[in-house]
Amino acid sequence: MRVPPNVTTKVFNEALRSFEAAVGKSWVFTSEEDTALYKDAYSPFFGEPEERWVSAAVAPATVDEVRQVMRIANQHRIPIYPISTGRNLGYGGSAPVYSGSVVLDLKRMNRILEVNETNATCLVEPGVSYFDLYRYIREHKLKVWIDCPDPGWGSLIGNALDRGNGYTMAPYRDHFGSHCGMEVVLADGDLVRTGMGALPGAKTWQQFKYGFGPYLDGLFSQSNLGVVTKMGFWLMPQPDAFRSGTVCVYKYADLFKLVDILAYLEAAKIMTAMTRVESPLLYGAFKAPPPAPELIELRAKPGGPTVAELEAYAQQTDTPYWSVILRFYGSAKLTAAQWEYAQEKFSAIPGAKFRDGDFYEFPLSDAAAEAIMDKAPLGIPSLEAFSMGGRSPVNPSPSQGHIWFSPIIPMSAEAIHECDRVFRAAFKEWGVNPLGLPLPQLYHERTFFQIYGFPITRDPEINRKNRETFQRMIKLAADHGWGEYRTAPAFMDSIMDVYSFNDHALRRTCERVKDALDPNGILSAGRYGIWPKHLRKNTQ
Amino acid sequence: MLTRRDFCRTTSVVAASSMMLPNFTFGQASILPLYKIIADENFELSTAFAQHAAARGANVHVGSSDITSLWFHDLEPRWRHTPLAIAGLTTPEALFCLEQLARDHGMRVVTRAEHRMRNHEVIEHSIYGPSEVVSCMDYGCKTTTAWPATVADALLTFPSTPRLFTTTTIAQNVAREQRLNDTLVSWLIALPHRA
Repeated sequence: MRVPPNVTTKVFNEALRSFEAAVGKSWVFTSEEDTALYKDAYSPFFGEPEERWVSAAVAPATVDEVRQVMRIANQHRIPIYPISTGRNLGYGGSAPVYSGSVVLDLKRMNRILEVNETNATCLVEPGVSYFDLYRYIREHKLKVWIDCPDPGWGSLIGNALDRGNGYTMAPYRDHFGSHCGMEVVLADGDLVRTGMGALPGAKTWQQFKYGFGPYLDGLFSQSNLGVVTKMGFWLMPQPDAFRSGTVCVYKYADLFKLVDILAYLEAAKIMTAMTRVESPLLYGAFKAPPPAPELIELRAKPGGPTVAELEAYAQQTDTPYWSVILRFYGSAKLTAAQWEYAQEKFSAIPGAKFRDGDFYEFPLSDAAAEAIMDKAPLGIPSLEAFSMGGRSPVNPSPSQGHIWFSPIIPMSAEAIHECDRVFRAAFKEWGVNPLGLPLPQLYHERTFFQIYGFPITRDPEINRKNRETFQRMIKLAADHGWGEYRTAPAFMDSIMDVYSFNDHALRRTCERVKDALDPNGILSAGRYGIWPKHLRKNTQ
Repeated sequence: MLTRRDFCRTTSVVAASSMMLPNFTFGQASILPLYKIIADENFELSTAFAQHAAARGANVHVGSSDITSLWFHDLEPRWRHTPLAIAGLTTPEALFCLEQLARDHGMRVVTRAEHRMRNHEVIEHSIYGPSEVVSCMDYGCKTTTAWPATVADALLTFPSTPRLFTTTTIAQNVAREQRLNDTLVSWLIALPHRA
């Protein structure tokens, strides 16, 4: 049995016995076989000494048990790392930031406490996955939708607290933004409810976010200041219909107006769905068929094709230089009107073309939902993303997972070009070639996420090189005013480090809060670069 | 004539008896019942595996590489009540998903093998599992090149109380129709046997 750092075997054994008394012996895991399951399945340190390890895991079933576990951990100074379903793949999974921590596995707390169809809200525990809630809603024939990430097997609470996002419309696809009310166990076992939950018997806990006084909810997001044991969410009322359409433009310079109009439509709440800018001409489009041989040849031309050559090919073959899929939710009439309005706006771009996409009316039968190709925009969870990463002619060496580098850039064509230019030059200089989503995603409103992926392999040398590249990209992005929105534990310190305004005032403030709420520093040490006092400047 | 299946069932007894474990009793070793055999319709050798299993009376599912529907409509509703063992010959990605999901119900991958071409004629089976499974694979690969059927037999005769686990690699010359363009994995997911 391995013991957490700075804890004696005697003390750890006492703590384990107390954990067993609190949650039941069968829910405390100390064997190598069991603790190994909490390794990060996408660890960038696979097989290396820095790979995060777990000393034990404790799986409570109720809030009272969580409180007891936290009191015990606090008493014995045992480092604890809460996880929901542990499926935050690409961002750390179920492994702690601070090696040797005891994982607080909240998967057994999997109750859907309420789904209110009239208010379109829900209240859930951390172990509730998107699939669980989707099943509940379907079984009870409720006219509400979830908004889920892709894949959809993670926890609503876990994903929201890590500020993940989805694929339907704003505000629902901002998972933290669409939460409403929390219940949190603090490091000393105290229990607090935020928002209207702080008023006993409140009838609007999942409806009015702010309650009274300081709005504390953000403290528990991407942090280590409490264990969230309940969370409310605003759900999307089931629309009558969904409609999509694609805007296609054929000149390089059209990107500027394309993005400007997209930004307007989003800010004006005409089109608030998740989407992405694509270039069928340069890179192909999501789930599109493979390119024609002539296009492959053009792209591979020594020295690269000229813009004129690309534009000529685009016109001759009706292959858009740039495109964007727009998605609308509402009634058949409303969505048709929104799509028509969008086309009016985009017609300001000479030569723009429009392609009608999907149209569905709801509710869908199970069979019809199953048959849909692109499920996430319809709030249908799926694991298809994993089958897409398999070996294929375009992916002859599939990885063992990935980590994402996700800087936030302004929503403008200028920013897209600048980001592309800066990173392309850097990759060339460094001799690297990360996986690419070469164009940005509209994951959150008002900004683009430019996403680069690094494969996880079983080769420590390749992993080491990828980590080095990632670290260089953090610095390069920061130099250009682009920061990451989320990251894996391996990079949390480095990214917190670049958010350095006023001598790292953000981190210093977080540390002050940390010292107040968790003076013994037991909770998720190091998460998002916030270390407890006794471990500060002593990172792994 | 001793069939491969007979061999596997016999071997499981022979292997157990040779271990001389304190709790060992002579007799036919019991076989772990499997709820379902899983195969991927995109791979001929995986469907051949399933056909062989079906011919042996197994309940089979031959579906897409995306296991969402299988898990959501079939496995998960059952696993919530009873952790039923399953086995398959699929892509590594499908196994990854099933392994992660099965963990929520206390189940583990208790045997796995990776099947990939070493060169254009030789397939390599890298196996981790109970000695019974390994022996069955070894015998099967020496007697036939229809290795998917061998894999099916090995999984269908998985002992309910496996004892000695081992790792081995078996190289096998195979005819064109038994060659792989991709890596496939065979596996069995069940509640771990704890002594």
